[in-house]
Amino acid sequence: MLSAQECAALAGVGFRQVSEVIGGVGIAVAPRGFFWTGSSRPNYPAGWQGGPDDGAPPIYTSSTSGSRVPARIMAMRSGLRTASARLVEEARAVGADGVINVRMDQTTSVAAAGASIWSFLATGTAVRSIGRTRASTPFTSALSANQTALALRCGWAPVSYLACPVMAARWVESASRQQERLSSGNGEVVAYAETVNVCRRQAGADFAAASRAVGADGAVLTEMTLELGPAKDLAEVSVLATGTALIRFDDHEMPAPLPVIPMDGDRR
Amino acid sequence: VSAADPSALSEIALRRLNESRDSDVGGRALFTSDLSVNEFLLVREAGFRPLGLVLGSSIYHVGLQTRRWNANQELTTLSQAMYHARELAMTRMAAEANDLGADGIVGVRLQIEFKEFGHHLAEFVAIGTAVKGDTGPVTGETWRNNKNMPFTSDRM
Repeated sequence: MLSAQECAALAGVGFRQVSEVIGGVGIAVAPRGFFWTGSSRPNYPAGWQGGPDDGAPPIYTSSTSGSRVPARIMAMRSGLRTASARLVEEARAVGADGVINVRMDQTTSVAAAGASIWSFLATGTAVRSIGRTRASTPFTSALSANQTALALRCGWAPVSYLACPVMAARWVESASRQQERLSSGNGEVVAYAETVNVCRRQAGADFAAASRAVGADGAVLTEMTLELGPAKDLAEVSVLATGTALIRFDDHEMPAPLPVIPMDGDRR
Repeated sequence: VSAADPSALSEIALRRLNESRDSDVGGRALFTSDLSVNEFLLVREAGFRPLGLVLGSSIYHVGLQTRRWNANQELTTLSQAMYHARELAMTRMAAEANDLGADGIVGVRLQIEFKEFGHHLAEFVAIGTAVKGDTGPVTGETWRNNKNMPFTSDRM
């Protein structure tokens, strides 16, 4: 629902609100970790616990592991994709050119046999141009009405809402496990810190790749959430990066939103 | 198309969008950022261009703190942990920006979150947008700090 002010902001850039739209899907997910790739046994790669002497165990990510994509990531990707696609379908059905304010809610409930059920619900506000040009495919965007208006005034249009899930895992050797003990003093838990850094960077890279794939010129990140797995001997990390891909269109004579004093005195 | 006509903007934007959907995507320059749209636009206005999203994280174990129940005191272990973990996260972010050849990092957000599975573990994460100045500062120096690393700012 948009406020009167937000409706006015949208009208100022040639869009009006059509309706609230949603896209939802529920998926049953087997309760498995990183190395479960769909079959009934885990798929451990050779040497995943590191060398016998002192070699640090390797870090695996779902984006670089080739055919070894965790079943959980497959479920996540398909859930996000389906919910977004249904949102766009609903927007198309009401004659919209785009959806703003897109939010993705994921809820987890536990089914009888210990398997979890993930529900993905994408919600947003469908908008339509007051002009004659129709979008061939409605755009989606996490930006608010005000942010959308501001971006359009400065020559940037939203292209697509992006959600990139990444998982990473690393065996926690005994040296690292020691750092987690209650009795140890201040210090970084290396196994987790390394895995989290790798996973977050990968999510950033995937986010950029996803923006490129939709033909964007830039992308703004909304958030990058982190979840750590429950296992003590395996540092298992899930990151979800969400944001909006933007495209540049031709410059036209529109003033900047706010005057800024350039930090370089020679400019202007 | 006149700028005074509100439908003009949506027209231009949708035409461009349709074009891009039809065309084949080449290897164009692209940036990602954690800035809000207004911040992003203001960065351009101030003479900087965003290079990309940079981040650094530290998972930190906060040690046991002995304390007296009947006195006010600083929790020095906790204080020291905050300083150290923040330093680790910020340094990693700066190193990533340095690799990109950035002059600075703007819109830096530092988040601290104690993880529920063990309440002595916290994640310190710093996320920002690496930027490069279109030109150097008027003083003829560089935008970088005295350690020759990119400057950091929580503002744009």
